Amino acid sequence: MIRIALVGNPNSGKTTLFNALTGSNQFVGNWPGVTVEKKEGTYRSDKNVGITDLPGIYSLSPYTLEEVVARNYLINENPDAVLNIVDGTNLERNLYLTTQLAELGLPMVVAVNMMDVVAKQGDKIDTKRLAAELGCPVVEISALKGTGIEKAVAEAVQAVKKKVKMVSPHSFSGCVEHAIAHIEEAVLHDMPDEKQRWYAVKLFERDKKVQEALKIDKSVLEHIESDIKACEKELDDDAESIITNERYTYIASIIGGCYKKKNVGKLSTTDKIDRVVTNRWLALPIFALVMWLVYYVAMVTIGTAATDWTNDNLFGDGYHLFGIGGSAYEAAAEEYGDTAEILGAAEAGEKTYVTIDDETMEVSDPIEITDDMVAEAKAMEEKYGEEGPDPADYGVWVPGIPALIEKGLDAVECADWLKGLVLDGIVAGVGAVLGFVPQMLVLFLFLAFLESCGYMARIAFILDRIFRRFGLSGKSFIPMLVGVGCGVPGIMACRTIESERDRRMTIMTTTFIPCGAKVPFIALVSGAIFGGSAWVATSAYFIGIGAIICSGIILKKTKMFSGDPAPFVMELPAYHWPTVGNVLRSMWERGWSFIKKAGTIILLSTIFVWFFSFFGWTEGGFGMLEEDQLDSSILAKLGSAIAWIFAPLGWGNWQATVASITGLVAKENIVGTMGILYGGEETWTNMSQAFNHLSGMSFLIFNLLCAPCFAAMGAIKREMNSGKWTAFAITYQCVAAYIVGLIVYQLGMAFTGSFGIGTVFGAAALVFVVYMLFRKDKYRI
Amino acid sequence: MGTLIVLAVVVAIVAAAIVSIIRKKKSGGCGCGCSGCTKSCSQRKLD
Repeated sequence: MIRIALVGNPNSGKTTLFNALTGSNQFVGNWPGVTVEKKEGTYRSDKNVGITDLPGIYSLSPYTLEEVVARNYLINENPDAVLNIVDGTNLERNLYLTTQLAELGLPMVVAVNMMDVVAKQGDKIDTKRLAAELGCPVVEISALKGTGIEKAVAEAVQAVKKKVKMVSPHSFSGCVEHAIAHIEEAVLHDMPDEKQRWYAVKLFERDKKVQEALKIDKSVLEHIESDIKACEKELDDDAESIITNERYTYIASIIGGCYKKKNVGKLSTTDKIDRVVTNRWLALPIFALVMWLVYYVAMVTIGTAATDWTNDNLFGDGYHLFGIGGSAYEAAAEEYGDTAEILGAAEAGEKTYVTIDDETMEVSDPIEITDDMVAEAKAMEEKYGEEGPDPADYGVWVPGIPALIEKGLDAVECADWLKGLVLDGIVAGVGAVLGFVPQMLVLFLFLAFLESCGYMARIAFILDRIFRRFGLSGKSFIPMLVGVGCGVPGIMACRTIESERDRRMTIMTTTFIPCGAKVPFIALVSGAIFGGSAWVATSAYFIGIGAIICSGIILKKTKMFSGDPAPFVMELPAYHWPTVGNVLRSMWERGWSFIKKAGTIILLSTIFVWFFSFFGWTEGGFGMLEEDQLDSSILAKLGSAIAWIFAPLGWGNWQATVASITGLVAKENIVGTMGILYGGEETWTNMSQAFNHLSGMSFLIFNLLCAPCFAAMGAIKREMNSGKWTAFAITYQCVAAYIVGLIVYQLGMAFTGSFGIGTVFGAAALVFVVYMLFRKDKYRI
Repeated sequence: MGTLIVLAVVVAIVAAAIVSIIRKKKSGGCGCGCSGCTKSCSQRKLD
């Protein structure tokens, strides 16, 4: 099998090319660090050709994890050919890596990507001349559009079959070449000729990892060191800088002859957009507006409409297919009106009756009953029956899943306890979570668009400016951006932070940003308690960012975490319209993952919750409980034992406590548990009665900021590599969540005129936080 | 009889869920099953 390695800078289009060549679906993001590990596949048109997608790297220097992974693969696993993807809109920066790859001695083909963008900008690249200068084939491609990619692979395969040995055409200055020749002779004479160059240059740069790998004798190292020092003295610079400068001089000479820019010195479209989007005053308001819009559409308009339909119809009583018969049924229901209430009150001898709103449970003012009303009600009862009009009698009625399952269970005479498990446990719990699939899909669609077009990369840049004022670095925000999808890779992405202290602090605070698993919970609170307000969802992200900033300020003033912020350099990719395929693929992958999780972890959790909430001790002994006896359940007893801890936060009831605890298994479980404990279809209504705005916000904040799920805790443990630090991180998160929830609820109550001992604690907590934020930093120089 | 059939179905679904979770854990993933996972969970430390 022929093995081809895809190598290139981040955002050069390697993964897009890999997807196009192999047909695998890979996640394409627009910031470095999304794919740290290499990916492998086979070429669609020839199964004898294997393709390896290496991490995006800027050079083969051993500073970052990505560079070491890619380098180790190229040196140790010796691919048959290297396909170097170069961003045609950024040739100069990308060719730096090319000059290093050329020294490896491996057959190489350079694929100049994004040629469609180059053409659009009116620029020209003379690829023939570039090929002559680089000493290897150069192919024009557009990985996004799929043009030229077969030719690029064909050239690589040809190079392998012809056994082409790549020889770098670049020569360094005299004393450098002299030193390199000495190094080759002294250390590398046993190595194949084509491999010697790269090792010699690395030894010249004093690359520690190469020195260790070659196990060079101390006396030999001292011998070559004298040559290196002589060169440094002659050129008045250190070895690594000499090599870097000479490479860029060589690249500039190539670019001059091969690359013709149309608008020299003029701003590109990306630059013009960035002048607004990354403007020091407009950046944050624009970010807030963008996130609000995303959540408004996902959670309030399209998403909520779809979720309401799903919850009320698919997971409710049912619906009329394509609306056939719907209007006739509604007319009949309207005609039937308050018949049941009138007749019920009249039979009880009452002179008035009341109605209860199904959604809000609001009770109307008493309405006087007249003889005419009773007569009409009796006529309606005769016409439609005691229960009123049956929707199944009109048009095409499709029963909801719970109704269908209940019918099926009744038909086989299933035992009550098992019927309860299936309907009140599994269907209620899993159904509550699945009801949010439409909102999640819309949200994932927008997030995929923002990631693919290049905007999300700007957010780290925007926040770096703010973070730096508080002793933090925007580099710490990259893992948090990754954590928006899932906290586990977000925590793992902290490895890119060199400073031990900053890395630990970032690991501790990464999960403050709401991950994908928390979105259904945010949507539930937003819908059930806040009437579907888009600001609740948007505020969840800003609460997370605020918690990160405040944590950073507070922790940086402690001995454990003090120190200057790390410098932050990142490449902002050019804006481009994402492909529909990539965006939809990303949306579907995340959506399907969410559905699978509902069918596994959440399913098991709902069974556990059902059992412990529907079984308990009553006067008759231990047994299954009715819906109005849940307060006697095992879960209620356990939950009540610790629910008092959360009373100062405004939600000291066992249901909310238990839901928070089940959230440690998976954050989606909070929704599933609420669905079981608050009565399936009636969840939103019952929740709106159990929480007010303040306690709802406190509940939201606590679960957003407290310890993450078990998988994320496991990731924290692995990355911290210390039980003590892991315990500290989890404790910090829980305490921070508790304090913020306490302040919000207690001071919120005080503002509405309710004072108590809790107000004192809330005020004390606020004073403590303010003091920690503004106290003098004795460790800052 | 009906109860037994339904119970068998529920047990089969639960068993399938457990097997799925174990398989995913064994295949090298982090086991998070998160919907937003970027599939970079199988990173390993170099040294």
